[in-house]
Amino acid sequence: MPAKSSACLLSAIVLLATLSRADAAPPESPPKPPAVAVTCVACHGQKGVSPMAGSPSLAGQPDIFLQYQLVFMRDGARDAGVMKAVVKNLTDEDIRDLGAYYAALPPPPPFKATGQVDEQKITALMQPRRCDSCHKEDFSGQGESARLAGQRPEYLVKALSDYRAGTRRGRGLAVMMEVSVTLRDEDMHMIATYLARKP
Amino acid sequence: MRQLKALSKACVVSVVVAALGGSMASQAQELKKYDSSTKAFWANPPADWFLGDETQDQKGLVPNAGQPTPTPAADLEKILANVKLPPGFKIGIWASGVPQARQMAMSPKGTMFVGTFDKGTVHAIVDQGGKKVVKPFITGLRMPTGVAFQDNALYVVDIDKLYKYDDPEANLDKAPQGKVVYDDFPPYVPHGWKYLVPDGKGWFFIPVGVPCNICLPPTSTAQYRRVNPATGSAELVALGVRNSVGGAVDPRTGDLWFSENARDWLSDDMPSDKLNHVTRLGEHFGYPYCHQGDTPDPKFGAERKCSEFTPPVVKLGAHIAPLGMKFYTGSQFPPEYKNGLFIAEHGSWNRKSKIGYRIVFISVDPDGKNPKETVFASGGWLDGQKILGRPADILVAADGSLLVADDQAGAIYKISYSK
Repeated sequence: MPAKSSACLLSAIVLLATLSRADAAPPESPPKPPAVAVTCVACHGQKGVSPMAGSPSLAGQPDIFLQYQLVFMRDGARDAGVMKAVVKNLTDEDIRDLGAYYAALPPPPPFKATGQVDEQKITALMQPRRCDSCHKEDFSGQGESARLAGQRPEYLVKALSDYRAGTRRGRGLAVMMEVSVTLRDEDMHMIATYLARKP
Repeated sequence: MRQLKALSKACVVSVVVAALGGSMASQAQELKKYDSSTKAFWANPPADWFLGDETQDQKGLVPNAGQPTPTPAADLEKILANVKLPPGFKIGIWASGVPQARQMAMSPKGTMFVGTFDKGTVHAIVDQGGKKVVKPFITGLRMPTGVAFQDNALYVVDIDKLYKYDDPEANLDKAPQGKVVYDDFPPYVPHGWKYLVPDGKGWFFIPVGVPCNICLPPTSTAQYRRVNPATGSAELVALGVRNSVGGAVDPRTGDLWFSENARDWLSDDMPSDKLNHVTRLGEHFGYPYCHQGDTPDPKFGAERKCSEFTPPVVKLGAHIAPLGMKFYTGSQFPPEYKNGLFIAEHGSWNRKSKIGYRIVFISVDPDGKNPKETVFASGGWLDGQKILGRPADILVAADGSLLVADDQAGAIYKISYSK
């Protein structure tokens, strides 16, 4: 019981700290897109916020996470589908530039996802899987772990299904397969809806 | 004097154990119980396979993210300028642009084959007019961390399969079709990445890691096997091994020695990772009951005694992550290095302040007596708390220099000696 309340207090403090930092931050000039980013906008949006179903938002994703996915798709570790042709000729430098650019863009606003979210069920699904240990308590992601907050829900479902089926190769192969293999389709939909609505 | 020292060391250890035991007891009711007796359990291992014992205080510690693209050569030079070595030794770039460089294997003709982690690629590196050219030789595997070259064939171990590629140098632009020569491995991905240790008689020693941090593991795991790639037959060599990704055969005796990564989430300084020596078939090294030879596990240790198990030859330090290792068989280095062990410390993630990220040298008698550990190469790869490189494997080159694979910076270094 005391452990729980101190954890709550801690997250309240973290939340406050985050809020006040966001308020105090001076307005920065928007990051300049590298030339190669021109091929990304049609599907991933002018500012990295995707307007297209099935296509993930990239804005505010961790730099390292973005770079890994581009490398894996370019080098054939991750089955890239339509992305294959787009990333084929990217150099390592292009990939570092794209990672830095999209990471610096303001993250997407909460997605207006339809669907039911039962808070109790969500806690029962997500707490034992320790999603926040890698993706952080606000699901903003870090390092190799993606930002989940505000992501398009159908894309989150696709990512989880691919991990469960073992078809998503590359980063997180071990841990994401273990956490997704016991999820049912309806669990994935509820988790995706919950995360998509997160600010 | 020596006895006194040993005694005071033992006291410190038991105090630490007592302290740990105390804090563990208060957490006891929160510890999760696993029922790993059924096959269904292991078809879907626990969702918390590596975070299950994390405390609130440890929250935020995650395995290192690594680096998606290799460090450019100019930046590598800056890193290497800060690497400290004993007098007379120098370190330089052998090849750059080798993403996720893990185990290395050199053919007699001089082609270098290098495994990767989750990139799923085995790279081939050839010398073209003094310039190293890195080719993605085999692609589309899952975690081909372990490689070996033997009898004009390249062997690659990828989670649950051992592949053989005949005459790989016939065309380095296109790998021949790989042949599965052994597949009696469990399917688990966690700690399923492996290392190949040629036994010198045509077989390979191969580790099989546990699919968890701490658990009563499936009986097909927590072991070393010796596998004959010509026939597909195998034997059990060592038990109670949590996760080993490095080993070598002692040129003096033919014995297997291996590095082992100990469990996480006990504390920043416990338990120690290990250097082990196998002296008889089927020896048990303690996991999950006893850690570092003297520390019972809070969950599994109660019903066993540490004295039932083989202790490590050297406690290498908590969380330092010893991976690739080799006995020094060359003649370029001073005579005191002959038949000693070089071990790559991949570096810690499961402790607040980072340690490791270096290479140590251990001189030891063939029977495991008189081990002496010294730091061989350090600095440069860890800049404060920032990771710039992670030594992952070691190879003794034909000229007696040491090659070091770095899977963070994506490079292979050469360490050489001259008077």
